[in-house]
Order: sequence, then structure tokens, then C-alpha cells
Amino acid sequence: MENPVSEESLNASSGLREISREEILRALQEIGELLESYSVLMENLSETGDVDQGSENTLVKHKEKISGQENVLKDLELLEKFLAFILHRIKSHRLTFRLPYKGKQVEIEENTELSELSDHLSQFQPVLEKTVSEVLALTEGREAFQSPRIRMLLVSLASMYKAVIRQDWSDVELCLNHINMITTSKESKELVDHIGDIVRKIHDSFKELSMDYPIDDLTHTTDEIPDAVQNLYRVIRELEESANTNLDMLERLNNQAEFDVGQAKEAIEVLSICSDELKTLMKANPDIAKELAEVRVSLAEGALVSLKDFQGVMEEFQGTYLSLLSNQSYQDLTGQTMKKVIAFMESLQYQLIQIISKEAKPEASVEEKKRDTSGEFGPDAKNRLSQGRVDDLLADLGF
Amino acid sequence: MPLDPKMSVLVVDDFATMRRIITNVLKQLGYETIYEAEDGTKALQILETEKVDFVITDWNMPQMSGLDLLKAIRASEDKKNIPVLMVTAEAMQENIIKAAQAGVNNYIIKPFDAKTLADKIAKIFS
Repeated sequence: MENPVSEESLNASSGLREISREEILRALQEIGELLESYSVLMENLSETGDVDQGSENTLVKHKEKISGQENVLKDLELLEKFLAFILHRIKSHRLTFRLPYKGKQVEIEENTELSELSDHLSQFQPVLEKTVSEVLALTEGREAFQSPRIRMLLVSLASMYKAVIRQDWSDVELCLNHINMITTSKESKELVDHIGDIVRKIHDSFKELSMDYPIDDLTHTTDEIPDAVQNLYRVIRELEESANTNLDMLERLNNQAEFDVGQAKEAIEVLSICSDELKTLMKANPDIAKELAEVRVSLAEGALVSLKDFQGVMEEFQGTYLSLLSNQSYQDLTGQTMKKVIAFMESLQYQLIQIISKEAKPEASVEEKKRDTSGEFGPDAKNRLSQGRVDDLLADLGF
Repeated sequence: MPLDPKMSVLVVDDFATMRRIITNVLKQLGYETIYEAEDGTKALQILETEKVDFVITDWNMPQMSGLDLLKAIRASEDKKNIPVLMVTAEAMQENIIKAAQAGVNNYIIKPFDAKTLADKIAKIFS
């Protein structure tokens, strides 16, 4: 753990006493409830758009409760230090625990239960470090109250603490991921934006269809994506085959054209020789010179000109052939674009699976459901992804 | 017509159809000796065994990309002066800059036409 709180500083700040696992859990629960009531307050504030006197009073009361000196844990900041202290001890393989308190110093020898708990708590410490300052800042100005991101942070923290009490570590991990997303470093903002884009697309699709998607349908959609991907691969293959077929035909045509051009050239040469011989014959036989001249003209105007025209056509063909060859390269581009679409679909499938996994989690006990009013991470009784939930998710991501 | 029909060309692309297209265009332009490789690794093997006067390569390929091939050629003492023409769908400005920094001689964005290919080759050897 970076910057662990030193034993000395903790010892110096207050006395130490033994703390039980139950006390830690109770403390966490208390903080979770406080944070939850904060989130309810934030919700009210965002709905009314104003802070009335009643809300102000509630806020002040909460602030006093959080920072009250009479609590087992003085405030969130102290909790953070305490966790850091525990982790520091574990790191140095001395599994003894002390709690800053007014009472005397008592050390607890190695305790496997606490050790396990501390392992899990180790995940919270960096998050706490960040959120403590945000939560405390919350008590300083109204602007912070109105930030949906802060509100969601409080909701997530409350859910996380409840998950700790339930010892539902997978839910804790889910909450932590969520908290990490909400706390905005540059990188996490980019991640949130990226996920937000995907969620927005899903959200827009739902809106367009003007209906809620039952999870069964969503699952069905997810199941269909591999088929769609396979179909796209098939289209890529077929396009490639088509391009190769075109190339085969073009090559045959070009070979034939080259052969014909060669033949034409030879014919032109032969005819030129004939023309020259006719000229010679005309000189040698003046009596039939006129007839020979007519033959020569016919030869020149007919066959020779036609052959030269043919040669011109063939040259034009060469240009067309090159263009057709180049045009086949679009197939490569189409294939690459389709591969990108496939990658996107597979990513979308992954996202959908995440949503389905989250929605389709086994139902919590009735008591837990009553306790967890946030509904952000708990199971959805209707097992459906509602419009409201999608909207919440969007708001959650800063949209 | 080519500057020198005797010049040998190495065409590197993982997509066989694209190799076939470029090879046909080159033949039409008059080049007689054309080698083909499906990625940078195979291209380097050919460069070791054959006399190649210039290379036309794609960017995105398995095993070894066109950019890595370019870097490998420029790092080789006896091959560093072989001209390399990149024919690719990578049209991002940053990628073109990367290729330029690695020492590419010219860069053609797919889809291309035969005239562009002929012009770029002529420019390389001008």
C-alpha cells in the first residue's frame, strides 16, 4: 500500500484498543447508511433544483454525524487511515490489529478471519482515499451536490458497504469497478465515455423500438450475434471468391487480348509487305498497274486500317483492364471494414452479456432487497432492462 | 513502362487477392520479376535469398506488420537502401507520419489505381 499511515502517527493521535470483526462491520454499515441517506438527499436536491432550509438542516446534521468525535470511527478520513494501517501491518506479516481509540492499546494476534476481511478491504483503500475527499467536499458547497457523478458515487459507495456487510465480494468488486469508473481521472473518463457511447447506442436502439427489452429477448439477441458474425465472415469469403473469379476472367481476357494484338501486329506487317510488293509489281507491270493500284488501295483502306483500328481498341482495353484490376482492391477494403464491424459486434455482445449477467443475478433475500433501496447493483425483480434503468445508466455515465 | 523492366519487385500483403491485383498491375506496367510474400517475416526470408530492387508492402499483416518490415529493412546494412512503397488502408495521419519516420519512400492509400502506382514508382526512382 502506498503511503501507509505509520504506526507511530496513529498511536500518537489517539489510544489503541481491541476491535472486533463485528465492530468493523458495524462501522462500515453505519457509513454505508450515512452515504445512502446522502444519496437520497442528493436525489431530492436534483429533483427540486434548489436547497431548501429543511435540506440544509439535514445536510448539516449528516455532516455533524460523519465528523462527530463520539463515533467509533471519527470520520471517513480516519477510516481510510485505519484501513491503510491494517494493510501496512499485513504487508509486514504482523497480523496484529490496533484501532485508534481513546482507550488503552491492545493488540490482537493473528486472526485469519480479519486477515481475509482485510484482504478484501485492501481493495477499498485507494478508492476511499479518493472518495473521502469528494464526500467531504460535498459538505462544503452546493455545486458538488448537484453533480450526478457525485450522487452516483454516493449510491455506489453505499451499495459497496452493504455488500461488505453481506460479504458478497463479487458485488463489492462490481461496486468498486463502478466507483472507479465514476471517479474521474483522465483515463477513466475516456473509459466512461467509451462505455457511454456503447450504452447510448443500446439505449437509442431501445428508444427507437419504443419498448422495453425483456432479458430473454436480449439473450436471444446476444445469441444471434455469433451467427451474424459468421454470416459476415461468409460474405467476406464470398466477396474474395468473387474478386478472384473476376481476376480469373480478366486475366483470360487480357491473355486473349495480348494474343490478338500480337496476331494483329503480325497481320499488319504481312499486309505492309504485300502492299510494298504490289507497289513493286505496279512498276514492273505498267499494263496492269491500274488494277494493282486498286487492289493496293483496297488493302490499305480495308484490312490494314481495320487492323490498326483493332490495335487502338486493344490499347484502350489495356487501360480498362488496369482500371478493372484496381477496382478489385475495393474487396480488400470492404473486407477490412467488415472485420471492424465484426469486432464491434463482438464487443457489443460482450457488453450485452455483462448487462444480462448483471440483470440475471440470483435474487437477493427479501431483507436484502428491502435494505438495498438504491437498486443500482442488486438484482432486478422483473428481470428486465427497463427504460428507466437504461436512463439511469446513461446518467450514471455522465450523459 | 517501367524504368527498368528487369527490376525485381517484392509484393507483401496478407491478402492473396490483393497480391494478385498488384502483381497483375505490375506485369501490365512491364515488370517481369515479381516475388510475393504474405507477411513481413516471409518477406525478409525472400529478401535474404533473392535480389529485390524494391518492395511494395501492406501495413496490417500477421506475424510482422509492414511497418516492422520497413524498420527491419532500414536496420539491415545490406538492404537499407531498398526503396519501400506502402500500399495500405491505414489512412490515419499519425500512421503516415510513423511510416515516414521509419523511412518509407512513398505511401499509397487503398483503393488505388494503376496510374497512381506507376506514378509513385516513377517518383521513387526519379
